[in-house]
Amino acid sequence: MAPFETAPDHSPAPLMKLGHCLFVLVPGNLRDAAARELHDAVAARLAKEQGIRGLVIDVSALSIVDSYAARVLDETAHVARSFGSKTVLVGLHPEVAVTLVELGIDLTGLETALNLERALAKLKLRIVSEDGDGPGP
Amino acid sequence: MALVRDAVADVLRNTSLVPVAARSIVTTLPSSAGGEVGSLDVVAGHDLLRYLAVGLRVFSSAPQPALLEELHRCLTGGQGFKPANRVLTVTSDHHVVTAQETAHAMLRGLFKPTDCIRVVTAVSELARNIYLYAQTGEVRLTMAEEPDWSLLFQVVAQDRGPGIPNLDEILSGSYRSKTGLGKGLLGARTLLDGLDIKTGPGGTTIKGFKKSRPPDLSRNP
Repeated sequence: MAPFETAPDHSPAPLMKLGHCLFVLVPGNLRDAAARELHDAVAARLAKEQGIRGLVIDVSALSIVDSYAARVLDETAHVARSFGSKTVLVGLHPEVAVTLVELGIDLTGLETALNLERALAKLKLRIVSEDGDGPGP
Repeated sequence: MALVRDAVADVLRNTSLVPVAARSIVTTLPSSAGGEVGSLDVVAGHDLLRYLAVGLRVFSSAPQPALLEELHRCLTGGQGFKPANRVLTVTSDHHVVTAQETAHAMLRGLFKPTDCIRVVTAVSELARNIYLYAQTGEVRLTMAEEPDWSLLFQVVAQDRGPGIPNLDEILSGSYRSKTGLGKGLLGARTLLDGLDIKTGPGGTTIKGFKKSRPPDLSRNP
């Protein structure tokens, strides 16, 4: 693995690796093309990096999640699963959750958590401390 | 500077109400009644009207519709709600976001937060269908006040695309398109109070509406 991650992500959002976890912050006002790029960037990153066991997607900036955005999120979770990672959504607005249910959207591939701490708990991951519990397989 | 409270007192003084009753109603008005005439937004106006209806019931007989209507006029400074009207051209995914933002700005503060998101999501679905299936079209958003003081939000999505050949299948919920958007139209129908779809080879016109709940004049605030 390269010492520096210099390869451009072509991602509209920063992808941050934290131990065995990849953290994605979805920007607000997400265009369809940007959602698609985000999906591709996550897939590329998961393919490149070994040992990522959990994907945490922060959707708190999204005040609207319509059927398209929901489908891209669902597909991202599917891709993550094929790389052996579990996906947890954090920061889903309650109004958005209600709307998704009424839209008849099935997000069974996704878990949701109230915050990052609970997301990590669901992924059975914890933030690495200085006692040498380093990342990597 | 004319205050809402004074305007209400004036209206009540010229009715058949006993002066003591009229005074009591004005005294028990919430503090927002201290604002200038025309300064209240529609929601605050509706809330105040609800207080007035309760006051009328408590201090006199049942609320009289004509009197409430006059009070509503004086609360809004005689101007009533200023209708809003936006027309958006949709040719790309960028315009879907614009439609979301425009609808949200029109609804914010006037509809309940959950209803806001429901309606904005429905608008988003309709706008996206235009650029995905007809490439170009137009979304018209309007907000107007109804005679019962509720607000009516309407969305009209119009295009000259190829039309929706399998509309019945989509609306029955049995259809799953490759793009997963069969859900969009069905979802928009669920999220709004009504959705009317006219489609043919010459294009598609979809009209949807959502009403804010009118002030409930029969319950205590």
